[in-house]
Amino acid sequence: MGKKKSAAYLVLITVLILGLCLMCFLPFFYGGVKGFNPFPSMSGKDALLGNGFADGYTTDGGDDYIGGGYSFVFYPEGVIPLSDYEDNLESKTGDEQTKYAEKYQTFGELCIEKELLGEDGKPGEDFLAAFDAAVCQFRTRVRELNLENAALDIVNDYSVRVFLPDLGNRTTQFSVFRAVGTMGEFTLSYGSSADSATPLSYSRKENGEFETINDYVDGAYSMVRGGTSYVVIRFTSKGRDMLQSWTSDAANSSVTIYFKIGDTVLIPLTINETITEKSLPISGSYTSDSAHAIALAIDTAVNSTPTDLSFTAYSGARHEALFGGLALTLCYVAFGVIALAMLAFFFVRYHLLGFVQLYSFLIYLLPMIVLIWGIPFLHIGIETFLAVLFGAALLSFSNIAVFESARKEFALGKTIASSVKASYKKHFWGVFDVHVIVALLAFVTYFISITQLSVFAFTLGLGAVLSGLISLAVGRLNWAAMMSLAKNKGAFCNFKRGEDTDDE
Amino acid sequence: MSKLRSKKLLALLIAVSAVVIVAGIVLYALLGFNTAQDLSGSKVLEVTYSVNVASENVDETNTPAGEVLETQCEALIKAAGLSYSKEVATGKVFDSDGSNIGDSYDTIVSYTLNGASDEQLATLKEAIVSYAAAPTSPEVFHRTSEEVSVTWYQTESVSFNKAAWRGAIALAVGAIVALGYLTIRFGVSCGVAGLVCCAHDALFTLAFFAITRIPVYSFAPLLYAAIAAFVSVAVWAVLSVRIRTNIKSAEFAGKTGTEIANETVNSSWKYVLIVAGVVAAVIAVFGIVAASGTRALVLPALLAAAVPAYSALFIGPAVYTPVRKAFDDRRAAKKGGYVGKKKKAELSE
Repeated sequence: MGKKKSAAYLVLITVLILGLCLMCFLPFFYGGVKGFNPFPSMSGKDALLGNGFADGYTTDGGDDYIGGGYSFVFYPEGVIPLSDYEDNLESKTGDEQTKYAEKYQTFGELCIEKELLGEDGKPGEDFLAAFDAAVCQFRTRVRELNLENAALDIVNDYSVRVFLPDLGNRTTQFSVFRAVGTMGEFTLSYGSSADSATPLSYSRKENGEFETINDYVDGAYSMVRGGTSYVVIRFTSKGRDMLQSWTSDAANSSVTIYFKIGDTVLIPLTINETITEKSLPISGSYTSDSAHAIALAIDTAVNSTPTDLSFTAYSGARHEALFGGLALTLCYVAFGVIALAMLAFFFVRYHLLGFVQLYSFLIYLLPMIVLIWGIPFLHIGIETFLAVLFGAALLSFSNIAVFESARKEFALGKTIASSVKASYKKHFWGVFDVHVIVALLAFVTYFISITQLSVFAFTLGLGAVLSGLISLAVGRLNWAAMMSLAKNKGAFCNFKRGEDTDDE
Repeated sequence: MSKLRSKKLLALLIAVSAVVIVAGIVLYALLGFNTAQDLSGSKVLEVTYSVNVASENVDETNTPAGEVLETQCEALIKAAGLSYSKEVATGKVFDSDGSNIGDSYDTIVSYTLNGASDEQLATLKEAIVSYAAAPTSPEVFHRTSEEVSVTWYQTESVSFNKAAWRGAIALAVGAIVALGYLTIRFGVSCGVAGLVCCAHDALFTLAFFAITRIPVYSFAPLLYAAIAAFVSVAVWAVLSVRIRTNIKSAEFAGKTGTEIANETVNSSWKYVLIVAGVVAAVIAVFGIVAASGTRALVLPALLAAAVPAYSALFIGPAVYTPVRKAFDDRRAAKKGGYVGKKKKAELSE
């Protein structure tokens, strides 16, 4: 490469790097209100790392983003916290107070209605069976949300606490909690209002048994198409016929179908045309998280052991990040220390050739940040840091292998150009194979795993692809361009003739 | 290095690995991992105070009343001979219009107490309530009945195994696919040895945490196993590249696969240790500089850097050489040609 071409190339690549730097590190706004700031957006949905940025990024609910998440304790019908019982008791007088006191039995910090107790004065079998069935549904719903660090605890034996990471939007957070905690039978009805709606009536089947909701509804799932989230309800053939009859006149006068779990209307759907399909996609103001949670609630209510125990949410709390408010900042500091140590090694051992590594590292890191920002399911977490570092290590080791090999060739008396050429020729397939193997392992792991491991694997897969491209193509180009501008090429690389080199 | 890799020592190391892995599987089956970092099965004392308590200062010392209350709570817990970990959260409620999460403006301080009995928790609750209600305490504590409230509870975690089993399957399938590629590029011997190393490293890492009972987050062991698997595959791929280069090299012409593998490992052990050392240093720096909670998550990952180095130097070559020899023999037998003195001697063994 000639000097002019090299200089032009280096100017272009430097401008590109500077542009990416500005894009990654400086927040700016476009279209009036839309903000472009990768770091805050990337930190969403992480319960472990706290707020690591100072520009006052807030969630849609107006809270400062602090990582962590929300928890609510769900109490089954007939069970209340002792503090509520005491407050209620204090607010009543005379006979009313006595009756209220007689209604409940205290169990530690909980009060349970005596109706729910067995003969031995402990919660009865019916209540325990219904509670266990509800816990199973809670478990399925929280697990299938596939949210990192989501947790479910049984509190004081007869209540359930759900912890979900901050989803960045309070309305979504509410919808997800409500969907997770809504228990009861799944029912369908249609009419002009939820209260007066005509419910689906079950007739007797040929075998003498009564129909159930499973004869009409198969289940539900969520999907995102063209940026819109849908809850899709799958009906059986009988369910489709029923829907068709309910909506046969919908073109003339619209009809509202109510999808309820227990007494809660999860979806009120107004329909203006006859439905003839088995799958009914329902859009609304759903986000992907809320659509997924509502679909899960319907699916589990249809396909799990039914429970008629309804739950009420008390004791809500917003929790800070598990590792503390400065955890993310400290992770950035740690990342910076490691990056500086890596660059120091290259500049000490290879002098100005260290710039090749610097450019390679920046060309690796900045697109990684943009990719992590742009891919919806990726965000900054410990696993993401580890994956980015692992990719950077791959890049660094590949460069070290090539540099050391070139150093050896140069020591044997070859020109710097032929040393570089021979070195890349020698290591090309080795570096290629190692990157392909790591990327294969990473992407296959990503496709099967969920939560932290999938984020780690996908980020590492991206890192391996970028590292491979940079070390085999861009790094070589950078080296050629930079070296062509150097007067003493050996000194530029800190290579010496006839030096005693180790076996690389 | 070749002395270190004597047959006896290799047999011993493989036996050690086998014992560790089997013991780990048994202990995992019986006890699982020590997920104490998740604070499952904890007893928690929860003190909730209002926005008045949080915002007003105590006259004498000009200290926020909430801070005074927390200090008193902590003194009472210590006086009861208990240790605690503390978490401060802000109160939230479902909005009355049923469409959002609203603020209760309360501050919730949770003390997770180690080894507390129900009686101790009830006594502590009583002591804090009495303190808040006492005329000598700051007036804001008992201005209304809702300024300070105390409760306690016991939690029992409901575990989800889905992430664990899907992760395990993902790693297994991923390793097979990646090492399938290795097999195509470097031969069956390298693929088989790589698969053994990868499986060994992931299982050894998991077994180590099951045996040592190091407290970890519930999701962490699989992440460590994944890191071990990734480092293992990468290091073995590098060794495979060197073995292939040496096989093609004129310097090694006429040598058996066993000899080439041994000599490659002998000339590469420094570099394997350097790679493992650098990965370990990165993990150590990340763990030390980052916050304390991060440390508890990241530092155990050091094992995931050490195990692949061990397996690449000892387990991998020990598997590679007999597989390679078997394939060489088979190939030679198929050809029916001259085998060579050295190979003949090996065959007769």
